[in-house]
Amino acid sequence: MEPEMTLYGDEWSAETLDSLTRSHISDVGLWLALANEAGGPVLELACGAARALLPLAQAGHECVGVDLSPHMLAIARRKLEGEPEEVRGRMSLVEGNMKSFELGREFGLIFITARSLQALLSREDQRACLQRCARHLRPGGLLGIDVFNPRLDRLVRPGGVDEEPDEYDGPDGCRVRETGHTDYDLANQTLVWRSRAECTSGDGQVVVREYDCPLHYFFRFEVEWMLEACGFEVEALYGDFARSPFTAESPEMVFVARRKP
Amino acid sequence: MSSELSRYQDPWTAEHYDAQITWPNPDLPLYLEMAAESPGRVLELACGTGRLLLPLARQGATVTGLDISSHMLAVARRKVAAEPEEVQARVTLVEGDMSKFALPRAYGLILIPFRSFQALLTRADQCGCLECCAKHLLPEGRLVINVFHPWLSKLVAQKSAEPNEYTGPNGEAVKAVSQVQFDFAEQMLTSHITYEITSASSETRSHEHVLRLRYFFRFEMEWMLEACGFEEVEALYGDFERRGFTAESPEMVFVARRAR
Repeated sequence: MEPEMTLYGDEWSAETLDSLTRSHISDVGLWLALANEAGGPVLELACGAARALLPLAQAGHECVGVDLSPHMLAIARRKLEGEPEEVRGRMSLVEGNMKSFELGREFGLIFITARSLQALLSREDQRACLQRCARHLRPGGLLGIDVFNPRLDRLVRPGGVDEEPDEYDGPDGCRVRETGHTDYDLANQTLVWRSRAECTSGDGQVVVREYDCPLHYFFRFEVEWMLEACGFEVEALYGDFARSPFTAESPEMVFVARRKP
Repeated sequence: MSSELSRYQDPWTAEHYDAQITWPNPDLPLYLEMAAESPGRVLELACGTGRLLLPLARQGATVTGLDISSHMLAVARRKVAAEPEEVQARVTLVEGDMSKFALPRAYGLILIPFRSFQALLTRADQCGCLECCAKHLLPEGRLVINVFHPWLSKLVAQKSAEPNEYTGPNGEAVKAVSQVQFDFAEQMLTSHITYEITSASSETRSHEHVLRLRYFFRFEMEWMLEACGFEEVEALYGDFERRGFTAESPEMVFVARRAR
């Protein structure tokens, strides 16, 4: 297991992530529209439990999902079992690394959503991933990337940021209270989000799970130049998945780029 | 380029420029050192009134200075004319746009000092400038770019610079007050500068300028250099003493070689 994947490297956190993101992220409409525009097949990197990819397959696109975590892919495969034959036939899942995958085919759309690209901390890793993407896109094919828009007020808070506690039901029926703290390294544009999940089961037993999630945070023009350097032309930058214009207050930075001919 | 450079396009600013720079030249020793290490000629972009160009030439470097403002160059020419003949012979001044220039020579060192690069507001102008630099470098040559390190705490507080008081070229007392606004989505800052001028005979008047600058983040610069014809940066310094870059560094000084 790669160190950057420890957060989703066990079954419990994989299940939890899938159930939380299902209700939190509304990106599917955008990826579906881009898939319709670009034509398939569609490749998602860090597809996880296929939250975003499965609806594209259901809509008729041939889809490939790559993920590093066998636990996330196991959930995706379980979901697929409940799908009709023709949807299952359109979807393939590959355990692999977004920095080094080689699928031997070309796609019309590749997307990396839910900030997964931010798990790549160094320019070397980011470049490797984007060069893999360029290699797997048809000339003129589209690449979609979502990263968060860094909030400057969080970055400058001395001693880091205590995250708001969150409560939810865990996948195993326990009640979860999650707290977290984020520390920023401003010179290297990285953060470490330390999450602590206290899981109380029905019989009152408490299990504590702690995860460190290191991420790179990107600034707007950094991503534009990175795409340019790796063989892409930026076509659009949106501030959210509803394609609102990007502003200083936007929660997300959603880039749509085209592979240079 | 850049109606944004209008600040330097009028004779008033050109005449005042040297008087406004009231600090010593903290960046000069670095550039003198790098020029001494470099083969061939030195090109400085946005050389202005020759603040760095002249000491470089006095040290023995053969230098070309390019600037978009004829008024700034007129001041530089006057200063060059006061130098000994052999220093004058080492200086060439060219009026031109740093985002698209073509000179008949290649250089061992190209300098873009003191935030001049931040006057290039669009990605097209930024890349145009870097691609021109790559074309004008000897194979073993180096490009040095200095931009300020955008301190996030200052950006968030939207801090303006302290008022600058100086004596103008005709003995007048000048107080420059700037009001800075940040556009975080476009990484742009706009400085509205008001000069209150009191002449020797106590007459007062004021003069206004608007200065727009892009601010750059570290990895943005590294990717930009890569996208526009340069190798992985050779060094990133956090100040003019070549200390490593940290979150508290005042400056960013990038050193890069052109891609083969």
